[in-house]
Amino acid sequence: MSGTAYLQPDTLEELQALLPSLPEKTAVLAGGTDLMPKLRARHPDYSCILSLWKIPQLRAVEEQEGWLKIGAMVTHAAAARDPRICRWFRGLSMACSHVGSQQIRNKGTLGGSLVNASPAGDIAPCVVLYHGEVELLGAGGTRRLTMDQFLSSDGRIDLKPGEILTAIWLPIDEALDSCFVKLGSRREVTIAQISLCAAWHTEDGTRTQIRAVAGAIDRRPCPFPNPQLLADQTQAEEAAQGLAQKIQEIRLQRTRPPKLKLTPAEQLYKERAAKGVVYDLLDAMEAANH
Amino acid sequence: MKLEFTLNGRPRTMEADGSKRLLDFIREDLHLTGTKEGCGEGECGACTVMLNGDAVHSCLTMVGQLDGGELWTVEGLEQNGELDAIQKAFIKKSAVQCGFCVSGMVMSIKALLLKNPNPTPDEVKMAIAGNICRCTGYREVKAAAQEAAQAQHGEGGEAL
Repeated sequence: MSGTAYLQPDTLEELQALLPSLPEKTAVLAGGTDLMPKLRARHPDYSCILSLWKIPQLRAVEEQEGWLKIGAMVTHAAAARDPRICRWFRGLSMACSHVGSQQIRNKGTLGGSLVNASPAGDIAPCVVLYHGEVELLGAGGTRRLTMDQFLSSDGRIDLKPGEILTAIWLPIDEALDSCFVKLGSRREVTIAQISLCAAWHTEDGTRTQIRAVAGAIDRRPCPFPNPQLLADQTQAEEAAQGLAQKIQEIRLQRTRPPKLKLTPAEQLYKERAAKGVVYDLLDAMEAANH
Repeated sequence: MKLEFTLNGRPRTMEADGSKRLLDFIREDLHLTGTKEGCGEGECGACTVMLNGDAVHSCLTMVGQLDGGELWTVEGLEQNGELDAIQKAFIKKSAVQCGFCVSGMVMSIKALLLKNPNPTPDEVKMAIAGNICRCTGYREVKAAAQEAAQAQHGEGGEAL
């Protein structure tokens, strides 16, 4: 990357001052765990790297008027051990504690994960689950978007040139419990084939107001069909059937062939595996209530 | 850019290309070749170093991210001619075959033991899940990590 300018502001104010004059071919460096392999694989001609590494405000987690504001540069490891995230957003802390390897969790950031917008990302489904919002900083100031506004149905993100995702805002609901599970090809250091997260209230020992989101089955997180079926184990088969049907619908609606060369059995894998991951989710929900 | 950092406990100031990979900087500019390049994309863990107390992939780090920080490479573990408890434990438990992955393994375990001096077997497994060995396997490595933890307790804890 010789000859590439490297900008590394120390404060949010310095960052904002840089935004209007950034070269067109600027790569934003958060943790680097996604960007560095991309730079290496595709050798794009970036003339400038803008590093968010040293801005302390972006590493902060703070409670503000009923919301938890999580700085975009909070790492997966930091999020997994943050007491407020563990208390109010346990599903997110569960997701963060199983992203990649320890080295990836130590460096990869929540904001980076959202901006990278991989369909298999573990953070976006959680932010959708909690009805979270993202804060974007541009030369002209900040704007806040719901995840529905931020992530388009084709998997693109609404981030304008010269805009930086600076924080994730999650509404605090003391009575909400949540959990996260994923199915991967191995137990650790795995990429989700299907991820599920659920949130609920408990009234008289019964789960109510259940909502759930599935990740890695479409280009962006997808609502779990009939989440009320997750109230207990008795309707597990029906819940799994609903998810399998949803995955099938997504497959049949796909107009572009998959990038990977998949055998017919592999193409049907997620539909068939849905049952197992729904049972895992129900087990995790059960464990959370004890 | 002007880079100020601590290398294996000693302050350094030097001019560097901020966008260079930390792995290349360590090997080519600092001439410390104990840190290895395996996959170059954060999968194998051979290039693991400690940055600000955390195990990180030096292949996924830009040099600029080192500015103001503290870097430990495998060369920094030996103190006054004596190997670190983890290095001794790797020798004692024969946790080495070809040796290519070992410096990364050792640095991952070093970072673990600094934060958690008494890890459970599962915590050791989690800490080295991102360090791939293609010849010895992991049984001896896990035994060496537990051995090192116990040795450190025996010495009343160990400062890096």
